[in-house]
Amino acid sequence: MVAVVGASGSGKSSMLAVAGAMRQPDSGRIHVGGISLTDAAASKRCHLRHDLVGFVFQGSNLLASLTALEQLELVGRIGRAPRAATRRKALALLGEVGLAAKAERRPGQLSGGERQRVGIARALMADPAVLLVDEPTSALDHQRAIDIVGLLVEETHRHQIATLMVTHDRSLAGLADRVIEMRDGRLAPAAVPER
Amino acid sequence: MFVGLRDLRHAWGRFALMGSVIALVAVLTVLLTGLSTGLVNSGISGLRAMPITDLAFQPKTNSTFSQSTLDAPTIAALGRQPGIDAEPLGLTFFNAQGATGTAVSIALVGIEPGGFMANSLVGGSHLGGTPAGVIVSRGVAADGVHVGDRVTLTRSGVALHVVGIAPTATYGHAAVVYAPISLWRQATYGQVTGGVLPPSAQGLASAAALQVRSGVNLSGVGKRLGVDIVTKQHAYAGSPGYSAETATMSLIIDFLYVIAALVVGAFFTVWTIQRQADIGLLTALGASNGLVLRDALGQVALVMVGATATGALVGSGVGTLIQGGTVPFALQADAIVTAAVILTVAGLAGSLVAVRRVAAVDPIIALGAAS
Repeated sequence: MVAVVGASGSGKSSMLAVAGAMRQPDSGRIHVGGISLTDAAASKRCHLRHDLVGFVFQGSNLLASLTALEQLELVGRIGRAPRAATRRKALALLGEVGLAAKAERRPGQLSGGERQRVGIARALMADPAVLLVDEPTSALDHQRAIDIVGLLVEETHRHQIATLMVTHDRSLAGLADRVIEMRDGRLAPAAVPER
Repeated sequence: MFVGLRDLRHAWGRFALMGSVIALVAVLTVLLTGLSTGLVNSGISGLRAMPITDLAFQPKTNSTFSQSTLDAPTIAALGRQPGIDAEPLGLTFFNAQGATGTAVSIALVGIEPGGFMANSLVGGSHLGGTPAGVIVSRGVAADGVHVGDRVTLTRSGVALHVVGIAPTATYGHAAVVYAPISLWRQATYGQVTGGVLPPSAQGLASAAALQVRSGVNLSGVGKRLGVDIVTKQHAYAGSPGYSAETATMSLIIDFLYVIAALVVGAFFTVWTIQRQADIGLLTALGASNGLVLRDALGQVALVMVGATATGALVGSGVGTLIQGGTVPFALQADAIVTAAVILTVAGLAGSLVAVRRVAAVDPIIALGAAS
C-alpha cells in the first residue's frame, strides 16, 4: 500500500483520475496493472474502471437509494456477474469489513465510518488489481480515520492487491507500506517516515 | 434497471407527485377522447351505419345534403353503371313535435322501401307499409316517442306515424328518423305548400347512395353523369360542424400530448441534474453509457406506463358515469388504448431530452463528490 501525500492542488487527484481511466493524460504514458491506458478508447476505459481498478471515494460516495448490500451488488450487475454468486460475495465482503449485520441498511442509517467501510467493500467487489483511494478519511474523526486506513491496509494484504491512497493527513500516510509526496505534479521524497 | 427501481422505491413521493400529474393528463385525455368519439357518433353515426361505399352529390356542394339535389334520371343512370347499385337518399333536418307536445330535432332520412338501404338500416321493420309510416332511431324514442305515436313536422305540418324503432343513429347531432323517400319528398319540398308535393319535386333526392364494387372508375362516372362521387368517409365532412368539432377536439388532445411531453421532460431534466453525482459514480464504477441510459429510460417508462394506465382507468370509470347522459360521450377501448399509448410515447419522447444528459456526465465528478 502506497500513500501519496501533498498539498491541495499538487496533482494528487489528477493522478488518481488518470490512473483510474477517468481522464486521458495530456502527455506521457500511463500503465496500470501492466495495461496501457494512454490511448484506450472510452468504452475500453469504461471496462477497465470496472475490471482493473477499485475506487474508494471521499466520504464513501454511496447511492442513497441502495442498501449496503445493494451498493456491492451494483458492481456485480455492472459486470453482468451471476446474481447468486454476486450476493454471496457481497455478503462475504461486508463480513470482512464488519458490516454483515447492517447489510440491509441504507447510507442514511449508517455512520460515517460504516459508510466508508461499505465503500471499501464495494471497491473490492470486482477483484481489482489496483485499489485507488481518494482522501478516505476526510469526513471522519481521527480515531475512525485510523480504523479506516487500518482496514485498507488489512484488505490490501488480504486480497494481495496494490493500493494507492491519496491523503493530506501525513500521520495517516505513515500507516501505509510506503509513502511518497507529490509536489506540483511530480513525485518527491516523502516528508514522513515510512513504516 | 437496478438503480432506477430502487430510486423509485426510495424517492416514491417525488415520483408519485410526478405520476399524479401524468395520471391527471391521462384522465383528461380519456375524457376528451370519449367526448370526441361521442361528438363523432353524434355527428355521423347515421351516415356511418349506411350500407354504402360511396355517395353521389350535386357538384360543388361539399358533400352537404342540404345543398345537394339530384334528379331521378341521374340516380337511375348511376344505377345502370356496371358495378354500381344506386338508390335515392334524402336527408333534411326538421323540428318536430311528439304526441305529448315534446319538441324534437330530427334528421329525416328518406330511403327506398325494400331497397338495400332499408333492408340494412331498418331490417324487418315495415317501412313503406303505410304512406306516412316512419321508423325512429332510439334517440327519438328516448325523447318519449313510441311506436304508434304521431310526430308532426313543424312548418309543413306533415304528420309521421311511428311504426318501428331502429338502433341509435344520428346525423348533425339530430336523431335519425327513417322515412320512405316519397314521404321525405313531401316533407322536404312541401314545406311551403302545406305538405303538398310540387310537380317539379317529383323524383328528387339529396344524393344517391351507392354500393360500388372494386375496379369501377368512379371519377369517370362522376364526370360523365355530372355528379360528385365521394367515399362515405369523405362525406362525413358534410355533416354540420363535424370538421370543426373533430379538429377542435384533436387540437385539444394534441395539446395534452405536448403538455405531457413537456411536464415529463421538465421533471426528468431536474431529476437528472439532481442525480448527476450518482450517475458520475455509476460510470466511475464502470457502468457504460448504454447501461445508465437503459436504467434511466426504464425508470421513465415505468412511471409513464403506471401513471398513464392509472389515469386511463380512472378516466374510463368517470366516463362510464357520463356515458348515456345528455353529453355526447362514448368510451371506445381502441380509442382509449391509442390515446394512452400516444401519451406514453409523448412522455418518453419528452424525457429523452433529459435522459440524453445522462450520457454526458463525466465520471470524474465522482472523485470530487464528497458527501
